[in-house]
Amino acid sequence: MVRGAWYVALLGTLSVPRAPAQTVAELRQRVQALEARHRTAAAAANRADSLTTGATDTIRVGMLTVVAAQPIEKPVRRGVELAWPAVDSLYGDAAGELKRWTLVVWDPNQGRVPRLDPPKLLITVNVNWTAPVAIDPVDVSRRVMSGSAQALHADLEGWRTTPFHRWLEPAPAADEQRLISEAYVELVTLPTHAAQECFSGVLERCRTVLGAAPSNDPRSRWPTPDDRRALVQRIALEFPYVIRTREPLLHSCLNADQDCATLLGSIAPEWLPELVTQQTRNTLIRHAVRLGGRRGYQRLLQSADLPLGVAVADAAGLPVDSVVASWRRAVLAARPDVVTTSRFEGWLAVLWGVVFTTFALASTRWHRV
Amino acid sequence: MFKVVFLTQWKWSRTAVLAGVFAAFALPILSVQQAGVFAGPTRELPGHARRLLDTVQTWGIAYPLLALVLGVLVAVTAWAADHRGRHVYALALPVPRWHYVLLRFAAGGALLLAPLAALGVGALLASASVTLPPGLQAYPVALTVRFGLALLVAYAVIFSISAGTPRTAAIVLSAIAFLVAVEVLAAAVHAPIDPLQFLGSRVLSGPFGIFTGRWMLIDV
Amino acid sequence: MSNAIETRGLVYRAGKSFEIRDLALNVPAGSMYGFLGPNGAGKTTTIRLLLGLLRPVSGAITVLDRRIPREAPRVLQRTGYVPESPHLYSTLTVAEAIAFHHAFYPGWDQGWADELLAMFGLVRDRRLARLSKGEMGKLMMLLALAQRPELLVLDEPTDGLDPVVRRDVLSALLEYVAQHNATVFISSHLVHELERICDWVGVMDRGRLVAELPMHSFKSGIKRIRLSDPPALPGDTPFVLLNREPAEGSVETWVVRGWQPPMAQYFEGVGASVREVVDLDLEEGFVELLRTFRVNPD
Repeated sequence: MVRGAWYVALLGTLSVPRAPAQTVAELRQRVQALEARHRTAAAAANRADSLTTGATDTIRVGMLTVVAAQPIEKPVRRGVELAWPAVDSLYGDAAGELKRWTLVVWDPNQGRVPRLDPPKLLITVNVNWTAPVAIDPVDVSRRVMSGSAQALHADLEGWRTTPFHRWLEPAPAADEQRLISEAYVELVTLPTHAAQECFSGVLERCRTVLGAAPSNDPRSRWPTPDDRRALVQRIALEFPYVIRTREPLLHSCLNADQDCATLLGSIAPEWLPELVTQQTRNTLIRHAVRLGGRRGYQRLLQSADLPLGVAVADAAGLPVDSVVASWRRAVLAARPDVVTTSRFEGWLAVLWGVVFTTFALASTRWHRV
Repeated sequence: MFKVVFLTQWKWSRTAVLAGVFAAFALPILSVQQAGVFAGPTRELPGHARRLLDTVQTWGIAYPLLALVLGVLVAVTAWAADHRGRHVYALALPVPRWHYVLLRFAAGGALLLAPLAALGVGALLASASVTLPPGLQAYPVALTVRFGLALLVAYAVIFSISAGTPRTAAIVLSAIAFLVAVEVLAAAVHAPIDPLQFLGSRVLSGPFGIFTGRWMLIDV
Repeated sequence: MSNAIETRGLVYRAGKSFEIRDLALNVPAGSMYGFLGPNGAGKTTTIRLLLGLLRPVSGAITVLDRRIPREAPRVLQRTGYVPESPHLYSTLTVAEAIAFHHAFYPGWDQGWADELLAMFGLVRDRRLARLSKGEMGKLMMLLALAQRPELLVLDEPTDGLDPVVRRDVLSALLEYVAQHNATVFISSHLVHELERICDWVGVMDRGRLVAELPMHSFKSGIKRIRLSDPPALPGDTPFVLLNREPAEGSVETWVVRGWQPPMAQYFEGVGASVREVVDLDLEEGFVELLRTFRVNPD
């Protein structure tokens, strides 16, 4: 089927006459012609697939091959079209692996799964047949992105054992923006001096906060006396049973940093919380992958068992400080919109007020006194 | 003229306006009070900034809601008495219609200044009473400005509908009924359209865009 | 004499069932013009057109030498209006309603407003919603008079009022008119009331003006005549024959308009003899006029 499409495309390519000396415009025109022929060929191949699989429709966008039950083909196609750019931009060349897979979108209420050769991956989509829009294409796109991530990682062994969760799922641009905005809020609200210093531009502190510092000792993430005191208070609040037997140290810790250090040293590292959430750490990894271009994700996977700082530097192909500095700039730029009204918003609201007031002033009430 | 129009409108709307003044003054103060951020040892606790933001964000929904309710109430009460008299008195007064409408609009707008000022004062007091963690800032003026703009839009929209004839209202209601009918029909034939959702997104990004966003007295 | 109110070819439609057609009113300045008509004749609609509260389909309206509806606010400044049903804001007190009204009228006479308030026995602090119908009628008349208008437009001002209140209201009105020579346009279906106070009368029915003439002409010009041997076809009469009904034998009763005693010669010429000429009062004349109009609207 896929072969069929390529065959038609190849024929198309061969049928386009070659000119010995072509201008850029001519070349562009030729590319467009080839693309058009490719689309025609892909559509023909899809139709052929549909005939062979019965009540299903095959949708190919980029490297994604998705089979959908025919009644929901249109929104699924739209969803796949939305998903592919996000998948491609995150995984780059690694997304090529996806062409071996078939993602099957099916409604469990229908209970019918198309018979396909493996490897295939089922993507469950609940279809609300009574709603005006039976399936939300955006929902489909999210599930396709998630399915792509699963398919891509199914063959990769050992990724779950890496020190951090590197299974990155593609996300719509708006979600990516939201994640990085939340990273901003987290950085601002973290109760540590390290985070404040990171915010102020001390890159070393940023690495500490993100867990990308050279030291693997979790205690190093709380570098100042205030940080350590805050950490002890946090543990006392969240996991009181952990330090119940160390009450004297807990009290003296408020005044003596040495006691705080002793107390933290006596706690098993796994009880020491991360400074930032995994979500914020993921924003750093995503950022490194994007900095690394189309092979960024592949390089990240190759460094899967290395410390985070090394892995992101490998993925980006840059020194870790450059990656962290770039991430920090992106985070600061993603500051959420506060309540402040922009000049445009303000004038727009005033304009609406004037428009509606004008409507009111124009009311005559002539007709129904 | 404005004085007597204002006084009549005050008489009709005073309950709503006074309640609005109280609510607008109390909202910002309650929001920071609930976050437990007044001077005291709590602000030293870890996670305090996050809790403060979360609490302020939870209260944030109340500001646009209050603006909407106040705008609607003042706009509706501005015309209620004229509707009862079928506008005969208003039309028999020796001023052009637009002049009378403008007087009513200005009187309602002036009344809405009271809750707006109350919000400003409340927000300033609340901001002054809290020691903010580093990285966080208070936006009492910005919040007040946004609240004022939201009041203006809500008031103007409902005022213009209310000032119109029953025919205008009938047209608006018919349009809504038509959209609902299309929605039902679309559901019946599984058509991939959702007119109400479409309208909602257009309205929210249009006149009511000012009601969206983060309504937070304290933010990053 | 110039006209305080004048309409030409006035047309207005409200729905499919009601229409005011080709209305030509002439209300002389300084007159008390009674606007008569049965319920639903179009009196209130006409008044609202005159004041610019409704927009006509076509035709011209001139009130106090200004065009309506274009110059309605200027006219309303010089016009006192008492509508058919109470239109004031019922949540206000009497004093607040007066203050509100006062603010819109530059010629407002607060002294006289206070006098009228005392004369009518209205309580300042009472809410309008709690006023009786008579008190509300008095208040509306107070508001209309205290603005010192050149024209008073009164739409059934005494309808539903008890005789005492009616007398109070009308006496205040007459006193004002006597002092200021104002024009009064008063609509009513209470014919006797207008008969006593008006010097001009206009009769309206089904959206059209049936007659408009001085009150004395109206009262003296409509007669019921008993005739012996009347002609089968009246031919060219010097009066307007409104109605004819057979009595006993060869006797008939005719109702005519525009009667003058020398017109008796007409009957001699056609072989009939006049047995009796009876004056009709305004109400009888009004009824006969309407009956004729409804039989032959053109």
